[in-house]
Amino acid sequence: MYAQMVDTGVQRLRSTEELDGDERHFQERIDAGVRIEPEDWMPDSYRKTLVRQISQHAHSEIVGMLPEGNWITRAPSLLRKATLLAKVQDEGGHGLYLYAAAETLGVSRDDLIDALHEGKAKYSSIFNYPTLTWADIGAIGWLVDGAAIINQIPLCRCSYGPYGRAMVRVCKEESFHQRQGYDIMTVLAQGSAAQRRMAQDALNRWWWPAVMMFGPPDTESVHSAQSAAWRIKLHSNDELRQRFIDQTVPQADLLDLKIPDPDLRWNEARQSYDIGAIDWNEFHAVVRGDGPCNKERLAARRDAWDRGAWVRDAAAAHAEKTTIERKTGETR
Amino acid sequence: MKDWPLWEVFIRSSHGLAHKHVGSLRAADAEMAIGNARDVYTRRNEGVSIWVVRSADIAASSPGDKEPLFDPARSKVYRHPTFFQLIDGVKHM
Amino acid sequence: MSLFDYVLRLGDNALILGQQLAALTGHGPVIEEDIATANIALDLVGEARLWLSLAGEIEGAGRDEDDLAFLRDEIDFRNLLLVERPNGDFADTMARQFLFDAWHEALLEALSASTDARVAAVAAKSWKEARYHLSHSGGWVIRLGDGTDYSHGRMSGRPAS
Repeated sequence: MYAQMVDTGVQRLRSTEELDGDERHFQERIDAGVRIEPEDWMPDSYRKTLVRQISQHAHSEIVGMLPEGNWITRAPSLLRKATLLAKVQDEGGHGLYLYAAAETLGVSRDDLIDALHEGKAKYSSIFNYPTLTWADIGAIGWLVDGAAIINQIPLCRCSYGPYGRAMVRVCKEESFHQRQGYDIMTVLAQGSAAQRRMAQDALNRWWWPAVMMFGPPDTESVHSAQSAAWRIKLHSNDELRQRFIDQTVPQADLLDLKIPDPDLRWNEARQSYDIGAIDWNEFHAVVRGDGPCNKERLAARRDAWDRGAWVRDAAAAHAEKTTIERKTGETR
Repeated sequence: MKDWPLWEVFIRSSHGLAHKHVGSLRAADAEMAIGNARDVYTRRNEGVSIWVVRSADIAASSPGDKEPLFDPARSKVYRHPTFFQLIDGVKHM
Repeated sequence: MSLFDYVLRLGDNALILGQQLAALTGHGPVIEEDIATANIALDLVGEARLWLSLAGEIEGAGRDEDDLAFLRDEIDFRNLLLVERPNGDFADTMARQFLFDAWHEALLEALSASTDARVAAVAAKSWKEARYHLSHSGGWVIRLGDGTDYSHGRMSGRPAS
């Protein structure tokens, strides 16, 4: 998902009986559905895992502005331009809410951003794919935002208060994102032969990366059990992935677009779709930094941050001067 | 560079309710904080008034004091109107 | 100048500057400023849509905002050369924005009293936005002018290093 394979630093999940003192009390509160707030006691590993998860999520929003931002200046109508601009702007807002939630855990946004720029922190694999045509903007809104919503709605109920509240705000704002994407796809799918072809091509390229967004299969998700016990992960990767597939396939059918999976079948017994094998080598390569756009994305973020350094310094210097003036009553 | 200070943002919606905490942001000075709060937290007509307060200036109760601070209020049930049984037929109370 | 040409000019100014600012989305010095820049770009693209639609209506040849925005050659654009100045660095962007905003805000205030009700309506709506833009860019001109030696130099036109 936006936070994939978050390391909990925990080798084996201990049962509540094995915990003692503060840790036991903490787990009991979580089990009772009590929200943990910043000033509450929490195990170090919970704090660290959350910082990793929330900052990964924040980085994903900020890096995620780039592939779509690529098409703001080239949107095919002024209304589409305004809508896409508003959507990409929302993503900046979402990154900001999430950085603020992470900061309540005692880290600073600058340190988190440094970790991203140094390649120490991850962001979602999905944003390392290129946006080649306008239809990609439709596919991202429909598939990527669709997948994100499925992941984020349960997180509104997660155990950490500031994270849950940030997710509530994000989900509220995100409801238009998926629709604007599907609307773009609908117009193209119902358009000329060339437009239909463009829509299908975008679906062909984005389907598998979107399916992989939910992270490795449950059998390989080493950190899931601890995250589930802490209620910062409420459903397994495969559960969410299945939900996404079951919801999306009929939407593709409605547009007469073909999901690029020859093994896709409706399973009557499971009342769900079965899909073909996922190429996890591709996923791990992208996470490792070998996706089509990893270097470009990180370079763009670093560049913006470095070029902005003197601006941030100037604003801080001005604020300091005016504070001194106010305190001493002197004017320059 | 140094981090810009963190500010807490409070927005009053047009429904006449009190200012409500909506989140935080970074800004170098108060004027910028108000502008940023407007751009970040009122993009969908959420508000008609903004307060910003530097996070460092907020004094908060400590979680360790939860019991002495809040438990005593629990026993004062008579502060709540539902404590009192009204006789049948009483209206407008 | 015909009313069509004049309204087209107003639309082109907003369109070109909106397009320039939109290109900065995701590349600002800090996320908060990215969001602010996108808001200003959104206001300007919105304003361009109103003026271009009105121009199309005045022309009466069936052209809509998108025909006018996308299907004209560059020699037919009527915008100020100022809005064509490249984004440059943040000081360049803010200097361009401040000069434009100061002019735009005064112009729209005056046009709010236009005898043409359609022009007055678009101007009145956009004027509110322009007032905010001016306070935003004005704030940055002061911050950069006062901030550090480097920012002062950039704001007063010393070349970037």
